[in-house]
Amino acid sequence: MQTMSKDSLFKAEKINKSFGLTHALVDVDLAVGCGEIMGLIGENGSGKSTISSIAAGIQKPDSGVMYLDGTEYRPGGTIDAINHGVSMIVQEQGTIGLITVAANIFVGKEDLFTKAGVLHAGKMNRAAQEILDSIGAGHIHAKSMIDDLTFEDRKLVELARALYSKPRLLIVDETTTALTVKGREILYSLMTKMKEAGSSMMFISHDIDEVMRICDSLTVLRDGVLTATLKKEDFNIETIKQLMIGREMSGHYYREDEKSSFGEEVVLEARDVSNEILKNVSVKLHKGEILGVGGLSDCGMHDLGKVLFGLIAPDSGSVLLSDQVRVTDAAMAVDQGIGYVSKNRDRESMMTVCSIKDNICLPSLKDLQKIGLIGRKKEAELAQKWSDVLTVKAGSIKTFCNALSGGNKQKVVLAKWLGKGSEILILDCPTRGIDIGTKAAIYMLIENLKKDGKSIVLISEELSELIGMSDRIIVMKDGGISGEYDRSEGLTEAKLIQNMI
Amino acid sequence: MNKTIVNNSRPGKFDFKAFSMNYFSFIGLVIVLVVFELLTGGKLLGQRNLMNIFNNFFSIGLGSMGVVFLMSLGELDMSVGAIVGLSAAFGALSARTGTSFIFPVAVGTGLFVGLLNGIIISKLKVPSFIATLAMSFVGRGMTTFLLNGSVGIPVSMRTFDNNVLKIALFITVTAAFYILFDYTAYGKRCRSIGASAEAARQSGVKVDRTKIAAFAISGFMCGLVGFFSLVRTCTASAKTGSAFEFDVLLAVLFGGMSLSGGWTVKFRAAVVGSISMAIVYNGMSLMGINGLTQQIVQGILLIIIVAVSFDRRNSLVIK
Repeated sequence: MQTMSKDSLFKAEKINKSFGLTHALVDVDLAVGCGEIMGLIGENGSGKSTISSIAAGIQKPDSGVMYLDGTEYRPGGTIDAINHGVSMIVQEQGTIGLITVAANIFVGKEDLFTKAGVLHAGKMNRAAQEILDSIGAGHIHAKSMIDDLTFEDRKLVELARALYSKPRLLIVDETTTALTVKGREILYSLMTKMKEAGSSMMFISHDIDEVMRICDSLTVLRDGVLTATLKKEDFNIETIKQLMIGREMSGHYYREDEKSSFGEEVVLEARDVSNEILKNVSVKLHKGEILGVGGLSDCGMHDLGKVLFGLIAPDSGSVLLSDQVRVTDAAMAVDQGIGYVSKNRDRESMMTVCSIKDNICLPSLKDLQKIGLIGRKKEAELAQKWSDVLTVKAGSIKTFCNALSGGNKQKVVLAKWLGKGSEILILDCPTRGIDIGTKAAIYMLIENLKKDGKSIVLISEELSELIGMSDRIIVMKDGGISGEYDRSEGLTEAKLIQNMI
Repeated sequence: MNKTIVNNSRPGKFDFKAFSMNYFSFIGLVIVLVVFELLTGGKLLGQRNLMNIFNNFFSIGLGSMGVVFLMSLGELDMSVGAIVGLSAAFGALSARTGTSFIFPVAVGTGLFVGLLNGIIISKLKVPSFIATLAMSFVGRGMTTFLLNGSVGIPVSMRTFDNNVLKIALFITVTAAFYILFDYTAYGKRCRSIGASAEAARQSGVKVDRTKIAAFAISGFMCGLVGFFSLVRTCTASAKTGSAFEFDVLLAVLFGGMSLSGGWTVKFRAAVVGSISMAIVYNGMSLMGINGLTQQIVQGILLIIIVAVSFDRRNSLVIK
């Protein structure tokens, strides 16, 4: 057996993994030191999730050896991995529905609270609450049903569950995309605490700023190959981007012009809109404008997007089109040339068990009809055209969307609205959980759409994105508008944050 | 997780599982044909018997084509048999006013109950299984109450139990529904809702309206079946259409219909499945298997079919 440097807790050597013809991992070597937070970054499909799931025992490598504390480590499954001290928090929902928070935290460990075959629920609830309090998530009640919790709180419950087993190596796989600023802070502080206690972490994220902030070292993967390992002192955003993509990023990322520019005509307007969350919100979107909407996740900006598209009917106030026609429901909004991209892509914007073609054609079915019938050729033409324009990477337009990466899925969603010819686009977090290559492509697309005279509402939790793209930015807080800025003012994140909190 | 749900199809390599899944319905049909042809000593495909099979197939086929749309939505209709019964009952009662009322009343009844189903399910948000099961009880109860035994219609109406007419009608309906399902916005919207109701709504599909229409189609077809069942026997009784929902369900599932709806639903499931089931029923009768035993066979078949054909791809997706 090879000798290992003492300070490595986890080490992987020459790991290979293939899925059919795709080599997801090629001879990957990896090491995580004791008490180290190692960042793992790369574009979608670069193999980050594969290597981490192998470490967590979810799948087995085709070849290669892993070591934990110097001894060979071959997890037989996730439970085995947890018993070895390796826990993972996944990107998707990992809680079990229809049971309580406490039951989720102690799943598989109910024996601790069982006496003579009877589960002592009160004791379990108290123990769970203690754990939640200790991680700073005391606002979650151990007795509540998991289904009543927000996605973010469910992630925190997962975190509590992972921490309870006192892992030596915690793998955090793109968890932060699901979290708001507050949830992220809880996670960061926990990770720091764990680090001080000597645990190691593997942190996977698309957000380079975040990775640079909290990681001690960084491993970059590209197309299944390890391209670099960086120490904290060598972190540099340009270098990292270049290592991920394998080429230099073309000059600009966001828009380059510094002046706002848009037409006089108001194409969509919310007039005094109120409901449970929104309070007297009035917004005007002009022709050719990119209107940014920012704020904390629960400020009402996502609801505003849905109201503008007619998905939620406001209790009072109205949403009007340029000709003063009221937007009453989504079907009508689509007919009137409005497109909407939800924050929750897989559940709301696309049919995942369905081909790219059928997803793209869905809003355009009416336009494809000829005497009530839709020809296969016309459908294929429309789908092929827009899938090509957006460079969706897939075998063909018949490929099912659940086989696509996040970035490609989002491209399909955008293709659907471009194919429909929508003049107004409401984009709710369009670059959420997407690698920077695709992100750059989406920014370029948004800029081109603006040039073509289309109007865009860009709702985002990323301030840099809002500042980089918007003509005008509206900041929301507690359901109301707390600030409005013009691009020409020379915006900074600090300025916006003032109005957010 | 993303990686584990990728398509199983490998190019260039014959995938037996994918093939058998895809052609499930045809494989089933061939097996059924061969088995019963052998068991009945060749009587099954005898000229005289073919018409018997057609008559069995006619009702099941119409009923199955009627439920394709709502099943592609991921819904179920357990009231199919009851609607057939109720349509026949109202049709028979209307004959007292005049035989020309029979057809519009029977079909109208079916359409009305179907619409009612649709409204209850989409507007009151009652799950379709429960709503239609309840409707089935209401329908059955009303039928028994209205008929008070059985009600006959003039024997002259038997002229409508005409094979040429029925074949022509069946071909027309099949063609029309196939086009409606595969080549129109409506059929595609149904499947979109089955795939993801929220994504469909956010792409401008009127979900409620589409659902109501799907149940209305099913009701309408039951009205047709009720009419033809009435003119064939010239009586309507509390037993008309009994267990028909089971025949239809078995047929579409035998045809490879997915219970979760969505884009994997194929129209041929209804037609091919109905032929298979018509052969199974007819074959069992030819062999002299009695009704009770047939019922047992039906029940067992249903479990086997669902266990074998259930598309686990859908269930893997974490929602």
